Amino acid sequence: MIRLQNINKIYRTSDIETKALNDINIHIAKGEFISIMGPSGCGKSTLLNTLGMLDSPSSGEYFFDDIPIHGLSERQLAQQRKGKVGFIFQSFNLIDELSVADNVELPLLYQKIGVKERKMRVTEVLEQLNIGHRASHMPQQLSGGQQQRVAIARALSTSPDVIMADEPTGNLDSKNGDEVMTMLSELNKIGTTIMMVTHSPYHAEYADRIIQLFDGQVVSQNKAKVDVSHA
Amino acid sequence: MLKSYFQIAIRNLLVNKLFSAINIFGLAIGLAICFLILLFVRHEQTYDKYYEDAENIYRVTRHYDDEDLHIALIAPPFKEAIEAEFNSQIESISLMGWGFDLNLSVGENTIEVTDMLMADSDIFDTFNLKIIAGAREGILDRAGTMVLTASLAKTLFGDEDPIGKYAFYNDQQPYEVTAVIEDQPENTHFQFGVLIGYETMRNWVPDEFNNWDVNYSYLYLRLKDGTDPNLLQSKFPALMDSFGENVTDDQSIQLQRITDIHLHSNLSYEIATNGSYLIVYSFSLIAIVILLIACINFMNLSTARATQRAKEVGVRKALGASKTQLAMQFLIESILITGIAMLFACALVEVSLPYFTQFIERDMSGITLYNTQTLIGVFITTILVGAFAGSYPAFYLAHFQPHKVLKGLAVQGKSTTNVRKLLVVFQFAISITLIVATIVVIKQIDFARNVDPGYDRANNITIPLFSSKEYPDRHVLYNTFREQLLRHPAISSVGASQQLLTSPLQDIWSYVREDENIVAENMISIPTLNVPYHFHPHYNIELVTGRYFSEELGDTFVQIPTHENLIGSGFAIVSRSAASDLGYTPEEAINKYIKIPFSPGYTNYKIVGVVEDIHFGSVREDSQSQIYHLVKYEERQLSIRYAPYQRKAALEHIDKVFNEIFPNRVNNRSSLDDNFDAMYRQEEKQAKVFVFFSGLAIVVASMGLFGLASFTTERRRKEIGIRKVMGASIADIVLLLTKEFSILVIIANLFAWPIAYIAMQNWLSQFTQRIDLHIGIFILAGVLPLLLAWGIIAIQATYSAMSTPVNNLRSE
Ligand SMILES: Nc1ncnc2c1ncn2[C@@H]1O[C@H](COP(=O)(O)OP(=O)(O)O)[C@@H](O)[C@H]1O
Ligand SMILES: [Mg+2]
Repeated sequence: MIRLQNINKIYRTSDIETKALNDINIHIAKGEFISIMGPSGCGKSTLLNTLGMLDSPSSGEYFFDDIPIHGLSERQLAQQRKGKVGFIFQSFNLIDELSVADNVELPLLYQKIGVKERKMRVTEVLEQLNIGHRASHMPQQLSGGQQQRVAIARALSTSPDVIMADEPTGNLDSKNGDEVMTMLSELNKIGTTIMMVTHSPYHAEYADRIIQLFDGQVVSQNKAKVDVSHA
Repeated sequence: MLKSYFQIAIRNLLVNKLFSAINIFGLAIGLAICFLILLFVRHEQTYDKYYEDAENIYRVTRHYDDEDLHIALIAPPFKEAIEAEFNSQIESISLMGWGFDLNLSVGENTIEVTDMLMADSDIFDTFNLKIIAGAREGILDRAGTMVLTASLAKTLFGDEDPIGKYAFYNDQQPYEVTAVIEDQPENTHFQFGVLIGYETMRNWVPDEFNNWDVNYSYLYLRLKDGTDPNLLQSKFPALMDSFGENVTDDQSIQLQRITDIHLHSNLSYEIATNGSYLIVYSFSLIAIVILLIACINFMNLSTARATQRAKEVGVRKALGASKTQLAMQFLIESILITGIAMLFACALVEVSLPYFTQFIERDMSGITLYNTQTLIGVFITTILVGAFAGSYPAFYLAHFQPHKVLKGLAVQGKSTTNVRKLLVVFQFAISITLIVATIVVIKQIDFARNVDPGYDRANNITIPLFSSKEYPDRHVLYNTFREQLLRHPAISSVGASQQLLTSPLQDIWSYVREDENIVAENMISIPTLNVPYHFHPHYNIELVTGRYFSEELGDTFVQIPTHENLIGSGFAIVSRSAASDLGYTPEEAINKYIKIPFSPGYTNYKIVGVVEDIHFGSVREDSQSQIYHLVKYEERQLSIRYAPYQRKAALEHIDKVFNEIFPNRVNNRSSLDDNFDAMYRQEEKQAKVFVFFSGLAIVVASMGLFGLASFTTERRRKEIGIRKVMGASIADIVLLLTKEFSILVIIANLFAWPIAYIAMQNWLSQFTQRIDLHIGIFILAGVLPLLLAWGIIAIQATYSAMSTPVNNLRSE
């Protein structure tokens, strides 16, 4: 489903040049659960954003469902990721001025889906994540765990093929973190491809495969150990 | 320390070039306008300060309470009466009066003088006019004497010594030049090129010098040092009482300090139109508001940029900088920007001053911009404005909390955003109001120019007729002109009248019907014009009934009553409304007589025709009723109609005839259409004022909007990023932001429309014929700024929406 070949990403600021991704080659099959790990600043977020088509690589080739993504314009990228990719962030990134339901509705809005269907879909995902009773609350009124649920509901609202999660448990306590991981692996079980950046080796083990990054390079792509017990 | 502040300030200016340019430009405009207005205000306060001890010079004005009539003029007998009563308090008292246009000639050299005043010789003591040549002794004591200003003397006599020489008034009477005085500065409430001895008037109107009711003179007096004007004025009522039957009980006289006249006097019959303290106040207010808005826009833009400075603040604070030090740094930055803006402002003032003085119709050539006073003023203003404009951003930035800032969590308040929005609404409301005003004024001028005045104004040339040495009799002159002009086939008709039809009728006579007695309650005031035979057919004024004046049918010129024959006689044509004012239908009016009381008896006019009303002057004037008298010697304005498409040939012939009759005169011909358009100069000027100020208001409002838009997009950076990640296109984002600001402009419209409606309705009410305030005008005025706002927001929003979404979210 996803194929990265010789992907490089270079950031240029006035005085320095940072090679955030260095010759990355990755294949990801449909339905896989991938964890991305590595020290701070090694390029995890950059890799995830590239995979999520939020950012384009400086060089190399990227195919998503055999469609070439490299060299696409900003606008074409947006077109490609619509409905296919859902995002979850460490800091939730909910819009403070919008209610829970409105936040969840946002991606549907930009897909030009009719009002009725949107409302149905929103109620559905909110129920699915057990936050239906919070629909009219504002994000500030919710706990961190609840906010992340809203963010996951938002990512799910368009029924994406892939979910990109950048340290989704980074701002949560262990109980809430575990809950988020459970939700992700359940989603994975029903067929959603998941790519997740994490610092926690424990949470990384939920994945089928762990990609280790160092200084923008892939250092290992191991199958997750099977002996770590989780339900 | 200071040096590093300056370095950082300059680097910041250079890094954000667009931001700096807008900020500097906005402030520069605000400062320049203030500067110009300040110059105007200062100039307005200098009026009549030219005269020595001007605070001791007063004008005596006359007031009729019963008629609510307050006039700057007074009757001649007051001079002697006041002089006699207050001899010990008054240094000098003088009469001045009556100006009219005249021709003065010396040899072949003839010029038209429009700033003549009559004055007695005491004026030289009252005003201390500076005599350059000639003696103070006997300077204007006699009839037929005159005093010239230096520049007029030079124009008339060249380098010759004019003292004792003569100039001829309308080519006939000689006037002796007794002295030459310094030119008067422009900033005085009266202007003159020549003073003619007041005694001259005694020849013209001998009876009126003792008449207490004929107000055609101005009375000025100089108080002795230390005299209290209030004390003097408090004795005026007793003085008035002592005049007995000569004045009625409701009348009073008052003292008016001459230095107050320009800004505070608005009586009937002022010498010239004065300025107004209201204009000075409102201009000052405008200046303050513009500067304030420029400062607030500056604050908006600066705080909008604050998040980008937040990191610097955080680091400096973490490194131990105190709030005061930080605030100081930002203040210095803002003063530096203001300094640069001030340089631009000075350049703008320098460039625009000539246009500005033309615009406000003042000669400010005497004002020098280059002196230490200005320099100090500019310096202090820079510091003050810079400190003021910088105060809020400095305070705002200095209070950022280091830990939050370094985490990128600088929070920008919501309440301050509402204040900003209100300000932008306010700025746009002003712009929209001004745009409405502009459109209305322009449309009304256009409308007024196309109103049918009821007479034929096409293909018409007018020439003022002054009698001359060869033609002392104006009637003969007119007939000669007429005859010679009509010889050419290009000239189709020639007529004349006492005055131009493009100004309101000056004469208003009191008429009494033939069947009523001459007593006050039977008198009907109707504007009147003196005309020769050919007037009505010449102007194609429509006849309702009866006939035009006719020499063949025996209509003769007016004979005014004399002591030998107490009842004068004449012929009249009345307009439809005039007939109805007199209580007649047009048919009834024919062959009726109307009487005008005129000492020593009355004149009886026979009505021979009724014509349609025509419109004299501009549509500001309420002109309906008119009566025409058939009069000799009143052919003051010659009117020549040429055949269609024959303008060139006609003008050539007119000039040829003119030069034959007046070989040495300047030909002041003009086209009636031009005179017609000239009636709306004032409105045209108003239109220019509105165009200028609405342009300015829009520029300032746009900058305000730009500031607010950058502030808001900055504040919503994260949200924009999130929306983009969720699939929003650039267009979606632009639309989102545009919608928010469109609402502001729409609210501005809601405020502006009623205000503009009331203001313009009020303005239009001065016209007797006017355009409707059509809703389209308001929509147009509202849509223009809306489009502009869209443009600004779209640019701002696109810029912000274009950046890769993850950049907006990368604060963690
Ligand atoms: N927009 C950007 N501009 C410049 N440098 C960037 C940008 N984004 C990331 N980087 C740099 O690229 C490297 C990788 O960053 P990132 O992918 O965020 O690391 P991680 O998520 O692993 O902590 C870092 O050195 C970071 O400073
Ligand atoms: Mg990261």
